[in-house]
Amino acid sequence: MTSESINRIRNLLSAISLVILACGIFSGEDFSPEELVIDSVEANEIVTNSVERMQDILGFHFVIDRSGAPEFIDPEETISFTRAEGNFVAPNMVTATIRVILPGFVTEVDVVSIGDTQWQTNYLTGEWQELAPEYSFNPSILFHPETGIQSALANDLLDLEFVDIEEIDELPGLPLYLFKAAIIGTRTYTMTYGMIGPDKMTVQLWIAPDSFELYRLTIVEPGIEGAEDTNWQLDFWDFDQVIEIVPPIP
Amino acid sequence: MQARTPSSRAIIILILISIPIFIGALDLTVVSAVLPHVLVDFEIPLQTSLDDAAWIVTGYLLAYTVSMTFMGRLSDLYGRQKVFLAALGIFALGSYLVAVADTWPTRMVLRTYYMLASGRPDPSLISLWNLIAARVIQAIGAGAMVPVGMALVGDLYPPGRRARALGFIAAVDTAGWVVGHLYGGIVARFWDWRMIFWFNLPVCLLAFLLIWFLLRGVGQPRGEGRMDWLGALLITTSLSALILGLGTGAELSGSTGFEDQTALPPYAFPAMIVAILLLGLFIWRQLSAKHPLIPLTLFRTPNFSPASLANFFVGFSLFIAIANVPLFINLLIADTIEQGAWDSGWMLSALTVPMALIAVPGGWLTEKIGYRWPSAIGLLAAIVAFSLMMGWKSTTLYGTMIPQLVLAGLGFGLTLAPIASAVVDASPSEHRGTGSALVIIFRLIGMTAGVSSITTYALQRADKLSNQMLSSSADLSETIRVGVQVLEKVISETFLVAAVASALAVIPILFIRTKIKQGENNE
Repeated sequence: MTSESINRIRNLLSAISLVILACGIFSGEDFSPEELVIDSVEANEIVTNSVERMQDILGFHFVIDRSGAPEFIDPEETISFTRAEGNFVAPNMVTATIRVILPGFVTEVDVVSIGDTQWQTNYLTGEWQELAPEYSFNPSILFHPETGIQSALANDLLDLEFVDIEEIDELPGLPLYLFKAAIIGTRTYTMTYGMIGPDKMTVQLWIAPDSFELYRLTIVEPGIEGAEDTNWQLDFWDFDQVIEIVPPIP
Repeated sequence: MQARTPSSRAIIILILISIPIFIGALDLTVVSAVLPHVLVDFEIPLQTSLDDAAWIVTGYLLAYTVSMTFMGRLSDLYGRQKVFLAALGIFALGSYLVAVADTWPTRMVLRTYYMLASGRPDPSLISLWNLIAARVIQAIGAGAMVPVGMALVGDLYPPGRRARALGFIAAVDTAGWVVGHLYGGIVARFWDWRMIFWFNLPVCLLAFLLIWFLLRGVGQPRGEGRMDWLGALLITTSLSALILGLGTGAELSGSTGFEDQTALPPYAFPAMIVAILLLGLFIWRQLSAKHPLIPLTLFRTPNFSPASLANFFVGFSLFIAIANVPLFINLLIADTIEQGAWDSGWMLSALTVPMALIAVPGGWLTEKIGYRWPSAIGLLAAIVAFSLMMGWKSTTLYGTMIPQLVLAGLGFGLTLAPIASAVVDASPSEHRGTGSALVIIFRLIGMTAGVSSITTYALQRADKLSNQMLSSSADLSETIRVGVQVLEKVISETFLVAAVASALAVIPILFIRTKIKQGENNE
């Protein structure tokens, strides 16, 4: 074989590798290594295991993303929630950066929640202030092991069914169980001070088969009378990671 | 070959090449009206938008300027048709990428990131940087079309008819960025802001096919020598470092972004040093190169340097108005961002339309009394206008703002013709094209420097004033009230900066010789 032929083969292999890589990047195909059927009894068992795992977790990193119809976090309906990213430490501590939309612009504030008490940086100066309860989106209540979203998943799911095994973009190479269900919204409505719920909603859960860790939870809140739906996506990772959270000095 | 080109064909080519040049210039200012819309749509937080997002404007200005400096030379070497069509293609590609910046390109970047690294970047910021990159691609094409189009006109038109055709292209280019914000406001009012960029595509495609068809068989004179790529690289990196040093892209620390923003970013000073060093190397390169990108001997001709410096300051102060008027209206007056885009577009027209309208009488006045006095009177009018604009409050009526904007527009418009004439008349005939391009380039560099330095200044002042004026126990309504006061004060101070820059422009104007007879510099 001449060196020219070797070069041609090498170039061809490089081109094929690039095409494969590009296909991997562009494709949104589900990952289904084999046809798998999980009946409702098994599905309930997996979700129960997942809820128990979430209740035992020492801490995790989270992102909450909202899209679709706006959800306001103040009684005057001027500040709408769009995204929060932070760390939860069991049982009731959170540090997070919350992104909100005010009329005409988007801004971010830092939040520290320890139980019912919450501090937030001022929209303008960035100085810490203790937050009045009516301006509350308190992630430490949302993630509380006994009374938070875990309890809603344990008690309020209806019509749970297994959908598929699939990967999410953020975790390539990790197949996850995907489940779908309806959820009664009254409990989520209380724990989010009216942001999520109170009507019946649709949820999807992505759970790791071995560890039962819940990596993603999506909630679709139907719009009232033909209005746009509100979509929530909650992502969790860095399980059992514990960081120090202390009350800020206002 | 030019002599045999039918006149009607030359006119059609002139009109056709003017269309993409107009759209390219339109896109220079179109985002000033829709920027708040874009930032809310992409969910870009204010603390990021005030620094990183400034690159949406600055990146375009910078790439447009840099592209203008060397693409004309490239067309000398590789042919006008090829380079113009390539520039048009690049502009269309950039327009498409702007329109889809937050869709598949963001997903592609994120997927690539997840495959190669751990962690989860913020999709909003990825979308923002995709948009900025797409704007830069757009600007490389748009900036190239102006000098290449002018050179093409030089090839197609005989000397006696060339000036009018070149004037037409210059007018089309100016008209584009004069009405860009108005166009943006109208589109954003009735459609999604992305339509601005989708609309570019069919126009570019049609122009591409027609220009390709009409330029077949037209002579393509090729210049001697080689492209000075090193020179192009040096001027590009020098200008980029200058803009970085002036503060665009400054990273804000802390949670809201305002706190701790009391100094320039740590890389600002080194970036300025690098910019100066690279500029020195560029000058050395231009002096030693056999075929320089810019013949520096031009700066030794009478009037050339003072007029260029004056144009830098004009660009600087003009862009403060172009950037601040939409900011003021969006943040302090309009109830919705759609209303803000619409109002900003119309209000900016009060500045730019008089500016365009007085340019022709300004030219006539220059012929009568020389360069110096029309420029000085125009700058004086701009200084008075900016001084009045310093009094704007959130309660100021549009009826009060309009006459002040008209005065500023008339003032700037009055300076355009004398400064451009001073430069072009000072240029020897063989470098007249380069001289014409440099007039625009200096104004664009001034605009770029204006928008980036004023962003840094406004951020630091907003931080300082917020901390001074807001008590630690302030509730939301108190925070909003103080926020309005802070913005009023900061914007008022930036108008003061614009007035000072206009005053600085008067100094080089005083060094301009009253009138140079045509041909005095023709070597």
